[in-house]
Amino acid sequence: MDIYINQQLFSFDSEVCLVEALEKFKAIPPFAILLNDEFLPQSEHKSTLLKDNDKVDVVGAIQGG
Amino acid sequence: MTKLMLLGQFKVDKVKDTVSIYGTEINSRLLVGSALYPSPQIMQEAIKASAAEVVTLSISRQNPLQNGGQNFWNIIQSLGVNLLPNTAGCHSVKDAVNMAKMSREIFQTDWVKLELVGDDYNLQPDPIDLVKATEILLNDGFKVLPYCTDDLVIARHLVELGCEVLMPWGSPIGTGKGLLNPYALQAIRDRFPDITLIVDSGIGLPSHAVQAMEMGVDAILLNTAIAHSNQPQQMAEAFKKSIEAGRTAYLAGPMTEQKSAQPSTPTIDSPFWHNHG
Repeated sequence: MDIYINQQLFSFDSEVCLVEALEKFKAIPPFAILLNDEFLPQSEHKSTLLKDNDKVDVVGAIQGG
Repeated sequence: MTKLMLLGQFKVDKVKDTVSIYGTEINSRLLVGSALYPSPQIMQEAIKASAAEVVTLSISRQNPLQNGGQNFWNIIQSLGVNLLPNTAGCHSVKDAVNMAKMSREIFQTDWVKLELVGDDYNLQPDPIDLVKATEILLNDGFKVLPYCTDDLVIARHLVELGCEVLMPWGSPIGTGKGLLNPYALQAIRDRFPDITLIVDSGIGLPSHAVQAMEMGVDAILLNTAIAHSNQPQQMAEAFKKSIEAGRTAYLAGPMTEQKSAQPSTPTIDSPFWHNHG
């Protein structure tokens, strides 16, 4: 199963949940998630199973004006 | 905030002259951005020198190979300031709302500096979508600080939706041109005396900040003018002083401008007065 995390391809042998995918990506807290361009609240992270070709965006803090 | 006196039509607190952001009282009237500094260390020093209590920041895709922005995040946290996340770069209501929601989770704040770009040439806010996004976010519990143009009618729509803070531009982001339309800003100030009015963007010099503060603007938000100075720390101090000067001058009340010269030195009993025709 192929998952795109921050535009990088990650392949998994079997069904994967979001939390596992984030561990493989090595996401660093604090972060927030967009799943297929929709905001996914933190309360739903643990219960979310990913589908083939899902697009996950992991965002964190940067400088801003 | 105790309201003790009225100066003109603006309410002034003489005991503790703070600025209110949705009920949070802020002592410093200078809000600063965290971008464009030559180094994180210089950013830290400049923010400290500015005495700002509110610092803007943003979010983007994380890159774990670059430590996920942890260095920046650790510095910002160590400053102990109020965080004001922005929605920079958003061109649609959906993107701005999503970005605001992600920022709220990351930074644990319901404040959002709502930016919605309407045109890439001058990064002018889209007034129509700004109003739409503001309504959605206010209904979702956000405390929206909308980055808007100096259009009085857009300001009125934002206030009617429930915005307690307005952040009109002085001039386009990063231009340093100062206040392009002082009349429009003054109109917003006069029309909404109880709204916290923060001039955001376009301030290039401390004199621009003084001009805005003398008009009764409540605070200034700037970034590039400090970060792109040759000496950001020194420039931060200069802006801090200029904003204090402008605020004090506003509270003091200016003299009335005259059409012709008015002697400042008393002329009565001058031994020379009769020498002039």
